[in-house]
Amino acid sequence: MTPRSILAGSLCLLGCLAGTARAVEVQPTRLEMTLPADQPTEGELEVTNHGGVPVEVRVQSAPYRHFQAGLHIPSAQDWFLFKPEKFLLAPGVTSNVRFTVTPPANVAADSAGEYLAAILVDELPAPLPVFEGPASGNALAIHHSEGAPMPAKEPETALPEPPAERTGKVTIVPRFALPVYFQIEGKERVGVELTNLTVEDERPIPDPNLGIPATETPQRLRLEVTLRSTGTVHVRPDGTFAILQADGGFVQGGRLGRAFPLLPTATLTIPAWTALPGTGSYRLIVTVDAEDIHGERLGELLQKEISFTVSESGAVTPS
Amino acid sequence: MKKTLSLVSLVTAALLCGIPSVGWASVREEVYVTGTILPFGGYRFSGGLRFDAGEPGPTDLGTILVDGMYNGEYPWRMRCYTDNLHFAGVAGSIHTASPAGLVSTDGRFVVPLLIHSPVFGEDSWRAVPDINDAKTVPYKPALTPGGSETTECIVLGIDPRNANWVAGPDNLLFTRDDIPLGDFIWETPFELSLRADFDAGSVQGTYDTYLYFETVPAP
Repeated sequence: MTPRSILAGSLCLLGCLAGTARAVEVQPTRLEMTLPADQPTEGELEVTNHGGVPVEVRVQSAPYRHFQAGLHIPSAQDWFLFKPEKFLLAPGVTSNVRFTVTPPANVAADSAGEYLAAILVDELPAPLPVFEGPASGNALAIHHSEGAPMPAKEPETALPEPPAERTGKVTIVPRFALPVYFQIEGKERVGVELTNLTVEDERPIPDPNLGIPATETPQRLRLEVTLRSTGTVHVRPDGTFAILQADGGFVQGGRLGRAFPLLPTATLTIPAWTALPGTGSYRLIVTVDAEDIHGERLGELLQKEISFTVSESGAVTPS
Repeated sequence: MKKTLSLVSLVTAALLCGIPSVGWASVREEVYVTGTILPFGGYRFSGGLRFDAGEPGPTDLGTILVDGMYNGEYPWRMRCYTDNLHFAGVAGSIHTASPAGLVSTDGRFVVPLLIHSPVFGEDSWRAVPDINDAKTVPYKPALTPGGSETTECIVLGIDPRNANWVAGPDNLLFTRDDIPLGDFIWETPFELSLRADFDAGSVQGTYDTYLYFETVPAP
């Protein structure tokens, strides 16, 4: 069935805009801290209202949700106490939210070196305009169920006349989710292994939006570097690759590109692509470094080398 | 709003002292730099929507104006979802319905909610999931150009590592013609459209939800 037009059908759009657009900014956008296990630690977030109207801001903790699903790293979600948890922020004003982080008693005895969480900063909605009903002239009553995630204040003047058909509202809540990394003092241990390096030829899948057929897309060289964390805290890896002639002459190279933090217990594969070199025998050398949350680099660079050949047809064979 | 910060940058300058045969002396010099750093910003959303769907059928609920821009480090994504903890479903029913969508005031019924973003393509609609749905598959970057499976409804984002359309005309990632900001974003202001399907079986009454637009910054 084709959706009906707002004008042609029985739909009546009752209200749309509820004031000027809101915009709240949070700093920092990432929280990485080292905490003592046996005492609370305090910190601060800076929240700024860049919009033209006052906004109500709510701050709460939540599970980590930043790209790496499936890892079982203990959560620090319940360690927070925010002050204030909810506040009104005038246009152009910056306010500080203080938080206290208190690790539970079992953390001191636990072997884990790192705990993850997220801090959610919400812009709570202003009440929507009250609709004046076409027949009775009474305001439409919108009720919130028990347990609703975020009850907004409704105008006290709303009359509880049951709606005759299907009515309601959608309330928009912009939310910003800061990733949180808490490392426990005395238990931080950095450890990374470069476990695997592969190389293969690859014909990219053409983007249909560009209208490039598969036969016209060039082959390229794809390499994958696999890192494994052997430590108790995360590091942020980076690195370079170099392709040399079998006799040692430099052919081409580049950076591995951006990588996620390598979390404890995790394995991280970093892909990179480069132009396929001509027919011949080559050496691929990958060098990886990493830094911890204090900017300290690994004690020594990680390096791995493999050899491969490129045939006349462009096929890559590790040797 | 601009925030002015004073930055202290340390540079190492090597100065030649004495005659060359003595060698090079290294002196560490502090250079103070004052700069203006723009806020990383964010997307702004106008208002919410009230609707009266009248009779059953697919119903356009209206549009949300999106303005601004997020300039934070990538990869990042903005996903939308509902958080319908108050959805209980119909007692005794055999099938457990997804809590995603508009929920009736009594918490028993749900109507699927769809969203259209110009980034999706013309007349392309996606279901808005609920964050409490047990079948949720979180987004993660793909290691192959084919992409990754997710149940998330991502309305905007930049993740240059796994998207072919970031690669530019040569179709090669990490080459000079890459489009680092030509990713899953759209020039603002633009409108997001919402649609619900009130089928004939949906009971009359009031339906509502909170629709979250969550910016998940770089990890």
